[in-house]
Amino acid sequence: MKITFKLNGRDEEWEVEPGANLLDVLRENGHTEVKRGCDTGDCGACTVLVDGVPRSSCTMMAGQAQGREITTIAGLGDALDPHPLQQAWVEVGAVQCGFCTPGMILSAKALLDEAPMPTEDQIKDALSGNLCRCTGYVKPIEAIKLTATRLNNDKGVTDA
Amino acid sequence: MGGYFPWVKRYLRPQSLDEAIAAMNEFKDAAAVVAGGTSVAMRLPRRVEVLVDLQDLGLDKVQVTDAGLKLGAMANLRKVEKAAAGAWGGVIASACSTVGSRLVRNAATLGGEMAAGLPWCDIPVLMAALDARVSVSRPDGEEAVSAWQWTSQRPSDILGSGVITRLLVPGHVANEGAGFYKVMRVQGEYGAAVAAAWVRLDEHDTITACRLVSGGVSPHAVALNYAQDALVGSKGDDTTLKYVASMIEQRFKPASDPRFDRAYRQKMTGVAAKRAVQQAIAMAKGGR
Ligand SMILES: Cc1cc2nc3c(=O)[nH]c(=O)nc-3n(C[C@H](O)[C@H](O)[C@H](O)COP(=O)(O)OP(=O)(O)OC[C@H]3O[C@@H](n4cnc5c(N)ncnc54)[C@H](O)[C@@H]3O)c2cc1C
Ligand code: FES
Ligand code: FES
Repeated sequence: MKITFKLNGRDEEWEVEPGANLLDVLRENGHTEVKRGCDTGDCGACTVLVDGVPRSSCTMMAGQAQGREITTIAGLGDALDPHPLQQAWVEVGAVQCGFCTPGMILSAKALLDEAPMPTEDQIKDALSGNLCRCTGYVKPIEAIKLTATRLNNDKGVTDA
Repeated sequence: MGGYFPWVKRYLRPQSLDEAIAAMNEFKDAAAVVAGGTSVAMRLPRRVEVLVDLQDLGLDKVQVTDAGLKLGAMANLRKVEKAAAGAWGGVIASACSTVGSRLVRNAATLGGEMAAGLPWCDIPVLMAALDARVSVSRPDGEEAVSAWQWTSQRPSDILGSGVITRLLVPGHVANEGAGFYKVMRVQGEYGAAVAAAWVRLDEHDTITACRLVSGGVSPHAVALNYAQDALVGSKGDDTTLKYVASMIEQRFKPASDPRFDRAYRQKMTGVAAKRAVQQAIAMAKGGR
């Protein structure tokens, strides 16, 4: 069957099996930036944004993407033009192996869109589905706070 | 674990409820609804060859008024958590907030929780205690099924090929209260024990009616009838609650799993029930 959707801002039309899940389909089409960890909805490595809302793509059928806007970490930025969250992640050292990073940053992006200056509790709740086995959570939380401060300062300058 | 199901032949996106009901009715056991997909995408029986995705039907509306809550079956738990924050003293929102991680709650729907028939589904436990009405649509019309039925039957037996369209939760009345308590090691994990309570008090604070429900043992919630009987006529004082907890510990028969053994679950179900009843009584007293 065909699904049409937006992926990282581009219109796509893909032929998919009716019984396929979104994670498989994304990875088979070259989007290996979406990681496969547990395959059971527990780890958040496969997080994507669906119309701006983070969810695990391993617990989503490919057909559910029809008509939606899907964003992977590649849609946020890259090494040459990183998103402020990606920049902060590097600066504070919130990455070791990096396997959880795409999912964590996407969850953080959705959080900052909803709550530009989140509390620590809000950050913890937003990251509750993204498990990190090596860096831990202190540095990612720091990176999110740093990004929030920077984005709000930028906004303040623009607003002034 | 995560699924690729080569036996699925068709993925339907009906554009009307009638179309969805017709498809479910035509393919019967060979069809399954896709709501949030958090369970479907992981485990799908081989008999299912047709998936019927409900996302185009506008079934995700949530309306909260003093008269009650109308909760669309396709509303995800995060949406319900936010919309129902002030309803029933926050108990519905708080139950939703214990379901999995934020990523799970962004996706899993109320209808999916009610229909999945998984032992760890917490929402049917609360909905049964609140005696919510579950609207189920079939070719011959819509039926309002009491969520209490979830305490004695598997969801699949209640629903057949029917589609849940919404849940109606009665409004909070001054001398009534509800409570929900889930014993977890970390926020959002599957519970070791879960209980929900609803009570009605008279003017002397005596419990005149009570519903007490647990979960985590079987594909459906479990009514703790013997504990309800012990509570009615009492004031839910410490001695009564201790007695109720010990009765549950002796009579409740949960399964062991790799996380929690049966004895621990029994004990914790007593604790969860006690705390849910305490919350319900406090709400009923405070609501006057
Ligand atoms: C990692 C993880 C942790 C979780 N932890 C918890 C937890 O602690 N507590 C908890 O309560 N839940 C938990 N869940 C959620 C639970 O396991 C189910 O996945 C969820 O309830 C299913 O909801 P859904 O909307 O995604 O349904 P789907 O997966 O889309 O559907 C589930 C079932 O219900 C049927 N169905 C769905 N909607 C309808 C409808 N409207 N009418 C008729 N049939 C329907 C489907 O055909 C299918 O059989 C967790 C899930 C995950 C992935
Ligand atoms: S791979 Fe999807 S949540 Fe772990
Ligand atoms: S950086 Fe390795 S899992 Fe998080």
